[in-house]
Amino acid sequence: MKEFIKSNKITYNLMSFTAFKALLIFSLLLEAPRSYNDIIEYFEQHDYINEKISIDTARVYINSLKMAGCVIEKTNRASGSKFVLVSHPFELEIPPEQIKVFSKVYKTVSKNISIDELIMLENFLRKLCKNIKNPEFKQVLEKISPLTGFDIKLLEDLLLCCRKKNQITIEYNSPHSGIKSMEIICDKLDFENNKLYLYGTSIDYEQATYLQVARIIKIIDIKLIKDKNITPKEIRALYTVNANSQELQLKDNERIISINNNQTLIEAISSNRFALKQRILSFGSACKVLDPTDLRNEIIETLKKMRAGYQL
Amino acid sequence: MKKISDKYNEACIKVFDMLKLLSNGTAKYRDIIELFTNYDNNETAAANVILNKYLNTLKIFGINISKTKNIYYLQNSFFSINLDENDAKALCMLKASKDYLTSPKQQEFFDKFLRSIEMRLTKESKELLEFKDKELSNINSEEYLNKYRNIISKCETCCFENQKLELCFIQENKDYKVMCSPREITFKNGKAYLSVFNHLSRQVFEVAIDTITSMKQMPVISKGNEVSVTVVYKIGNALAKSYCLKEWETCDGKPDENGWLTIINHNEDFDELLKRLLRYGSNCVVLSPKNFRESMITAIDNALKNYE
Repeated sequence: MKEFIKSNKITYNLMSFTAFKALLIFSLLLEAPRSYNDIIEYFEQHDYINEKISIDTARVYINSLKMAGCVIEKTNRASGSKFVLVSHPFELEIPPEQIKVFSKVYKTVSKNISIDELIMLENFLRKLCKNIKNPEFKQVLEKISPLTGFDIKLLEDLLLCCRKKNQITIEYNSPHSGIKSMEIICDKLDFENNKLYLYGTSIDYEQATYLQVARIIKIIDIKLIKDKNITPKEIRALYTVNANSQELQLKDNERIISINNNQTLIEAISSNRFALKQRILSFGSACKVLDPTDLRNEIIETLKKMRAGYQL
Repeated sequence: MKKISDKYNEACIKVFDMLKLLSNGTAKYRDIIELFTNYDNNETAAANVILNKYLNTLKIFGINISKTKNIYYLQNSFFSINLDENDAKALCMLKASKDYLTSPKQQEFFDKFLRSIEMRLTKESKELLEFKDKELSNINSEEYLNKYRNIISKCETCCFENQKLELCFIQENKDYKVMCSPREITFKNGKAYLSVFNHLSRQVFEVAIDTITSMKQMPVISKGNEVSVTVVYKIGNALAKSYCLKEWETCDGKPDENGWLTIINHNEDFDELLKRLLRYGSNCVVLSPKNFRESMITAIDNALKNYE
């Protein structure tokens, strides 16, 4: 405001001082609850108003704000007899048709951005929700967001640990053994099958692991120096996939070696045998493992077990 | 004489009424001037003087209102949503995502939504947003969207009009022609898909927009109560303990005496579902429908044949 007054472009007698004072009281109440004395003191000290108003005058302004559609309550004497702006006609209200379109855009965006960006977007939208009057916007966001129910601060901390490849101790609610502490060297956070996982190297098992983030209760400790330099054993797998190479959505650890008559030869390097097996199985009959032999045999065994499940 | 509790300022009511009219970002000059004419029974010339007085008041207070072609535009508001750098990036991301909407009406609604936020930003936040907007202008998938905009738009229209569709597309070098009901456009990994309900197989599946060769609307409206085939499968061991139900799945919540949990899946694309269930290995068995169970068995048998 001051910059407009300082610019002196406006002649004071071409404005409504009463309206101006009403706006000032409104903005004061927007900031925090105020008492009569707070309002009187503010007007007294205001650079351009610089006048003492009576309690009655202040009361008339409060009445006027109420008549203009503001809901104002007064706290009791013990709480300082302050006026609290409960609601007002200018609160941001998003109409249903805009919520519907937002929902459509959000669903699309959230599937096409990285986890860092998703956390950033979630933070912004949660902040925005606090400024939106109608609860429907928040309800829709909670329904469609893949990060609903997650502690965003925990996700940000985990993300930072992944960037720094930190060794951390976490409290984890294991589906098998209940709540326990685990040590892991963080690698990345990523979605797999609509679930968010923390990928890394388990200190206890000295091998690659991935944990459902929804089951991580908290980070207990972040170690500045790693206890040991564990390099999990990596598997180099070679497999062919019968599919148009352009249709294949390769993972970060995969690369195409050759393409021959719609048959794509893929090399995958992974320290997570379980995830690699799942990836191979998801291709179904389109995939054949060439190397290594033990992985090939494991896949055959799994397929046989799967088939046995249908012979009952 | 009125009691103090009944007294109020006309000027306060006037300025707030004017702001209420502008609260959605715009207001017609006609409506604004009518507000002042009504109050004081003034002639238009006198009402204009009063209007200018109030515009000045708002300007001095820090609320800018501009006027173009008889429309007043509220440039900022009482609100002061403060953005940090990440918030600004997030808002830019949302702004850039407008391209995903192909219907002009939806784009208009989205513009209004964004404008209602931008209007409430602090001056510093607006500057930050402008800066980030320029910095991130090349991150969207504009090229892909421009290439397929027409067909995406056509698909959107088909979904909106809800008429049955004869859809031709190419998948794995084979031509397909299906009679279906269009449902919605979805985007995955930057690519657009048309989700349809196939009347013959009673399945919902997705067709990549860039594989569609032709589509013809039939003069028949799709029925709203198309019931797709429900897939029932069971999962066991660790998977049963840790499984998170999808939005479109239900289960009775309790594993049987052997630890198997039965899941009922509605509306998931069969190809996608098959790939997902294959991943679960021997921890998953499809129970019904018969044709999906057989597809699973065939996929396993054929996979085994690869190693004979």
